[in-house]
Amino acid sequence: MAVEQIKVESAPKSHRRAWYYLNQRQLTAYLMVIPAILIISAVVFFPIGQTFWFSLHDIDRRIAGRAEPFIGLQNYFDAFTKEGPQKQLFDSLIFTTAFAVISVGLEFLFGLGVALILNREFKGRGIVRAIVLIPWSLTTVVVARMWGLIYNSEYGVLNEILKGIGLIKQDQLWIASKDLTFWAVTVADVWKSTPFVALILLAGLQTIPHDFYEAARVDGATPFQSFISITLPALRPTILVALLFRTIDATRIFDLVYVLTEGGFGTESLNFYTYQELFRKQNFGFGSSLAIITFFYIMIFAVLYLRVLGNREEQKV
Amino acid sequence: MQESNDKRPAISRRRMVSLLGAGAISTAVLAACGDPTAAPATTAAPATTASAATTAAPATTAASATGKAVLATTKGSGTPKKLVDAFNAKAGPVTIDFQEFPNDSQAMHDKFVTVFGAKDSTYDVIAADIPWAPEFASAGYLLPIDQYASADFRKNFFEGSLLATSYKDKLYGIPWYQNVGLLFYRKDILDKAGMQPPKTFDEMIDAAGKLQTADQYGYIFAGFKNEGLSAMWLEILWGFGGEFWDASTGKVLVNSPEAEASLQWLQTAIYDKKISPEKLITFKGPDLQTTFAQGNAVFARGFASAVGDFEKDTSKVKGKWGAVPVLAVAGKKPAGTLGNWNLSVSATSKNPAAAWKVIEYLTSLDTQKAFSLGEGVLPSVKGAFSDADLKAANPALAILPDAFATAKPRPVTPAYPQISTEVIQEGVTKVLSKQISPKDAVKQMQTKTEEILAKFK
Repeated sequence: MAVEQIKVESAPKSHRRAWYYLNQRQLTAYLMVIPAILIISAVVFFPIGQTFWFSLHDIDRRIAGRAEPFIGLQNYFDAFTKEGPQKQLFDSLIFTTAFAVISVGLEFLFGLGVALILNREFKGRGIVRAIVLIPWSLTTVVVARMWGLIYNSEYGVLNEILKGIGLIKQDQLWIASKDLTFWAVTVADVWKSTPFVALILLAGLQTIPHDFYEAARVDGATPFQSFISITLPALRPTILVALLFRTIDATRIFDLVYVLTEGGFGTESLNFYTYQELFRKQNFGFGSSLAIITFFYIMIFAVLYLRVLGNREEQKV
Repeated sequence: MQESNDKRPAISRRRMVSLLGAGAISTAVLAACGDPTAAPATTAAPATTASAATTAAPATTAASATGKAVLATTKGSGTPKKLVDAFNAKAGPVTIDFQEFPNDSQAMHDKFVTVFGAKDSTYDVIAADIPWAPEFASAGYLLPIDQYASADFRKNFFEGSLLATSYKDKLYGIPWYQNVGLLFYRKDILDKAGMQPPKTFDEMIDAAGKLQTADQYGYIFAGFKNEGLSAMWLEILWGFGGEFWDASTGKVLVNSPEAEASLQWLQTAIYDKKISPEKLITFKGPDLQTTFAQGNAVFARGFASAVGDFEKDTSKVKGKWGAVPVLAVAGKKPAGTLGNWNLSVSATSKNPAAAWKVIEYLTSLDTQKAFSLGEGVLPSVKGAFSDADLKAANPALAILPDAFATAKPRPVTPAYPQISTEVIQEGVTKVLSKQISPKDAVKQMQTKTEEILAKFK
């Protein structure tokens, strides 16, 4: 108690001094971070703030001179409760979530496999590593166009192959079917992004000291046991970083559906829905509220992962 | 791992950095919708309402037209650039600053929404896709050009084409190059069978049914759920004598027996008579053109711009095809959907008189001819259609004046983009995949369109 009281009494003085008396070092330090802070504010916080401000108004730019009244949270109520928008929002939330979970899950499994293979010593490993990266280095729009050709119902190679090996008899309508289009989009994304996961996991694998495995072998552990007890735990932070990056990226899905399906057949993602409202309908008020909803939606994933990541590491300590 | 045990703060600092990073990434999402350059600017567009720029048209006369006009277009830097250079070389009082954008019309649309939404005055003349005219006019992005476009000048263009750029009795654009839906057919196959191209929907069912083979479809169209589908279906609706709405009163007319019959015909063609494959629902414009160019269809409903694909050296139908206006029931005039690109003056232009000079130049007969020959596009001025060089270059040119004379624009309302995506494409796709009956489809279209239009009364 006594100590605290002394602190409280002496606090105002030093506090007030700290406000405007900066020593040379502190001053320099502040000056050096100010540009960065300003830039981040201008490109990150200002747009978020402005978008949020827009979302509290009824703005339809298709009609010049239309009043743009402040309507509080009405846009958000509409998004979640009004019949049409509600269905569209929930459908896009379901699609985006299902897509993110399934595509990232598959990318992780394949990526881990690829990383484990590439981590072994074999002839021509450098070349194989470079080749594996190609899908990831392509622009998403190019990937979407390419898969569009593969899925093409008339000339697409996928139908030809499947017919050739006798899996299907009729041409399948990959980009215009309630059941298949989701998987068409997912497979294209998995193809493109698996190398990214593999690359990050490979970097993680290479930091695991060989001694661990040697020690395990001396103790008589099977390769599977050392994978479970050494590789996976040592790789955990890397795995979480890879999953975090990919999940956030997957929830942002836009260009793939924009080019491949134009949002049709149950592939309207949250971002595509937002884009439609903002640009095709110039519905800036409601569109902004969707953008903010998207923002919080993705934040949930980010925070979830960081919680898991942080807790696990702290538990170990 | 060992290291982090000793340095606990290092972990939390790393966590903090990654949290910040996560925040930044999620923020990027807000900017990630669409064109990366366009999106953030729109979000940051000033919240002021559109000013009365449209009504305050400067009363400049043609005599004072001097200075630089900025022309924004997605149309290639080939011929247009050359024509602009030729114009600038004349060293007249007006010069053109030619600004070309990637050939992606949706991206161009989004860019204009961004730029004009922010009251930016960068562009004087813009090349705009046909549905943008009412949308941008209503938003106050465009300048009415009635005072510049004399009655004589307007006579150079097709009535329907000017109707497409008229909003609330004011003119907002002049067609630069045109496009219209046509029915393409295999001349060689029809000649061999001694048949004439079909004119009505019933004749099409007969002819396509008779001529189709195992590896040649009878009748194909672009059935994928996008803007092309709306343009295609509207033609069939008009061909059956139906109307989507009454433009003068704003009354929605889609819940009609004609509209129902138009949708029913599509279902019949696919599922009963099987002259069209079910997979048309995956066909985008290019797929349709490739299929016909590869010789895999007898009849194809496409846009006139497809001619370039059919006349390529790699095309298997080169010289073997013909084109006629689209189908219509007996006694009705066929009406193709217009796919024009128009030249408009922006409401923010500081030099509208100079901008108009640019439009005059680009729509003059000689410029139109050179443009049409160089780029393979269809001219907008009537006079160009009788030109011998153009006729030689495009075998379909002879029938085009007829097609353009009866062609119609898609509903001229700022709500059209929304109606197209949420009502027409939605309804027609459901009918094409047999998820809904034509009767219910037109009923739903009627209600939804009325809801959307209520805002624009």
